[in-house]
Amino acid sequence: MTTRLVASRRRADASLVIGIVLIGIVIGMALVSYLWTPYNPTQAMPADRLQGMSADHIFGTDRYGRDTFTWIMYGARITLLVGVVSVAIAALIGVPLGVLAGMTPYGWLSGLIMRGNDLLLAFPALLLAIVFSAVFGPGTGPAMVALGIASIPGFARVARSGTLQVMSTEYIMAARAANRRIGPIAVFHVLPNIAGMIIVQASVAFALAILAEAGLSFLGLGTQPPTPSWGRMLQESQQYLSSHPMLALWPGLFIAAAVLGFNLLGDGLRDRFDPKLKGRD
Amino acid sequence: MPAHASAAAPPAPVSKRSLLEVTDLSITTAQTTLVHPTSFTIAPGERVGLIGESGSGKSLTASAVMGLLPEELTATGSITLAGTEGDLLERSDRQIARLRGLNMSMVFQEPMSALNPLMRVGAQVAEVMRIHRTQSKTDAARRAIDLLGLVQLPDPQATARAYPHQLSGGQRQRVMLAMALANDPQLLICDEPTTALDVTVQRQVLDLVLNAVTTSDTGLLFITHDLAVVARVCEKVMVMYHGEIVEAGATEQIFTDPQHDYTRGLLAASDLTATDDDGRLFTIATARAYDAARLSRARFTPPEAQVTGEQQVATASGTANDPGAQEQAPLIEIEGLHKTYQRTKSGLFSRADTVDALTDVTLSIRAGQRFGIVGESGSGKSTLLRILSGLEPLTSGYVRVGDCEIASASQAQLRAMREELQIVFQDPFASLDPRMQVADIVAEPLVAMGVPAAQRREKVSETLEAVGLDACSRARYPHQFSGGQRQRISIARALVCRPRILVADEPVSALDVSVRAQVLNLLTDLVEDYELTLVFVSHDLGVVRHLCSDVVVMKDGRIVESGDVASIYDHPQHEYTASLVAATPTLAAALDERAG
Repeated sequence: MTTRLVASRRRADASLVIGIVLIGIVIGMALVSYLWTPYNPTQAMPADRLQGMSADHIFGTDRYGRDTFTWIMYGARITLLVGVVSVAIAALIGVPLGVLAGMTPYGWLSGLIMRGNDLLLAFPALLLAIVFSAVFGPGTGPAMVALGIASIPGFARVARSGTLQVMSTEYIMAARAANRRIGPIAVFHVLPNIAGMIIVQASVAFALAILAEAGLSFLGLGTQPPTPSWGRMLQESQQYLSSHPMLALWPGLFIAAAVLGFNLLGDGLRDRFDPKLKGRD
Repeated sequence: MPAHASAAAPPAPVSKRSLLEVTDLSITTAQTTLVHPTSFTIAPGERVGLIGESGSGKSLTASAVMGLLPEELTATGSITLAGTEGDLLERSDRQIARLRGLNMSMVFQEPMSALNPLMRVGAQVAEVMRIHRTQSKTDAARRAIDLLGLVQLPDPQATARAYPHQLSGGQRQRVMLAMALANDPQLLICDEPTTALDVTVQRQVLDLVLNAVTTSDTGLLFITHDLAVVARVCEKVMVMYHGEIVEAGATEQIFTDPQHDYTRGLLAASDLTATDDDGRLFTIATARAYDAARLSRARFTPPEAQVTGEQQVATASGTANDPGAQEQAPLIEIEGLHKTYQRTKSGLFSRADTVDALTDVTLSIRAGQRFGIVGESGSGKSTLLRILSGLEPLTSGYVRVGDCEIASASQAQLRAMREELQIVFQDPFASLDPRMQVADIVAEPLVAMGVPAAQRREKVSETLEAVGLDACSRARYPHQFSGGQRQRISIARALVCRPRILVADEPVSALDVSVRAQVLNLLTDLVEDYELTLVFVSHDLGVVRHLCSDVVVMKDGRIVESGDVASIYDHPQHEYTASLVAATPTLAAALDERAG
């Protein structure tokens, strides 16, 4: 290993650690919120409205006197739920399609899949989510599904390029010579060897989904009241932006931390899994 | 260094000061020592070979001299180069960079990746002179063209304007050599410069290196694993083993009267014309019985008597349709086979051009025969194998394996055929899935055949034992094995379903010499035990000669000559075969040439 690789490995490890810490904080808050929160999130205490940071309310309170820290904790749940469900939808549909396209690179099926993919890619994710909320009504569910569908092309592309790479190796030739059929080759040879790339893609898609959900909730098309969500907190803090900027700061900070965390995790994992990509952005 | 080594070295002229002096060089990581204290000197104009197998530390030694060691390795000792001040090891990277390409330069193994793909080769050669300001801009460009002519590239003017991808591997290696020679260095280091090249090209490049260093009195440190190449190029040889120089001396002495057991082993294992009492190749372990002096005696007298004895065509393979018939129908039959590849279109409106990979190939292989297919890279031999195993469609012609006619066979028929025909692939590092355990890899053909799990386990154990691997290797992953062991795994996978035909695609070309002999012995034994028909593809004439009874020579997708091994090698009819035989480096020939 040359010096550059060593330095790059250290950088990768650093981003991996920071990413894991940031995500750990978000997951920790979501889990703890099931057992304990400082206050009841829906309990309004008009006497305590719009307070700053204090020992009673460490992040302060909003216009109804609800505790901001409690809301941040509850909001972490929705954030993670949206991420997990949309990434699961995208991966479960996108990866098989990509592998299929990669294993039959010259067939009509591959062409069909990849052109359909391009079509979907050209369609903005937020627009799709808005269409979904117009058809199915606004809510977390339609938002998650829409974001999941919108991330399918990313997974399909990554899976396809990984599959093309794996399919050109000699061990695939050996498996074919050993009479393995296309199904077992996909499951036992291709998937384990592209798993690293898929995980990296998943962490990036996770970050995008969190951001998109916050955006949708901000527009009122995502998570609906009274469920706490970071995006909605931002929206509600809008009219107090000049008088109480801290109200917008906290949800904004946590959205940024979660997105950054997953992106750093993705970068770190990419360098871990694929030494050839070291040193690239 | 052993005492006898210096004693055996030719008396150096007193006037010659040493050019490179390496004293007690040792290279360590934080945990282990990779190169134990090593000392050697190279006189001006002296050609020194450093031989050893992979992992012996020979490339590290050269890197230390060039100041190119990876940072996590530390080198201690001292290295001095005539004409420069002080110890090279004490210089900073900046300081040593001033010497690289000026006082000393290096030619690397891989010509495909050593040149900048976006720069014309003339400019790359000129750059070496511009960096060290030895020439003005116009002079550098002019000298670059001269240098390209010096390394015998056709039409140097035009070649200077070419990009690396427009040149062949051999041509690129010549460009590398031109770059290395640009500033008339005192010391030239070549690290396996011809390993990636075909034999006919290898010979030309070796001649060039030899010519360049002798005319300009440049010191040469030549690193290789190939003994025959060293014998051709160098006057002094050092043998490296596990990070230590175990023997050093004049080339003739090392190759005819080796003192160290390892040297003798290496010599014995690389001599494919010598076999021990059981008719097997020598390995490091059995090399004690090897008579090294036979090389200097031998004016090439092939051991034909024993060869023909072994190679009686096996008659009983149990599958012949009418065993009484004298002329058994061949097991594999190919007639008028053509294969054309369609290149992908480079532009929207350009026509897709076609490449003829195989043209009018006709051959037949009888049951029990050991059939060699010889050719250099691009000769179409691998394509032929893929077609034979039904992994790639053919364009036209007739191909029959057993009773399966490939062109018209259904997928089911091809599957049935592949249970009879198994392949051992070339690259033991690429042909095993890195994420699978050995037992699963070996069991793959059985899984496809639907053999129940208990029986599979039994057969896998049996086969692993047959190829000489421990039972405990079952649960390990390929990266935990050495190259030779991996090739054994690959062979086990091919044999686990008891095929009738074993197709081997360059199975030993990626292996070290000593391991090569072991794997070849294993193949010989298995072919006998399992009564296999062997189709052996290789670029290495020596290996084919040892293993096969009949051979075809391929060039540019055509068969240029076919016949039994002895007549092809000793009386080649086609000029290409003759040039191939002549270019193949053998120790005997190289020593002959030195002697006379």
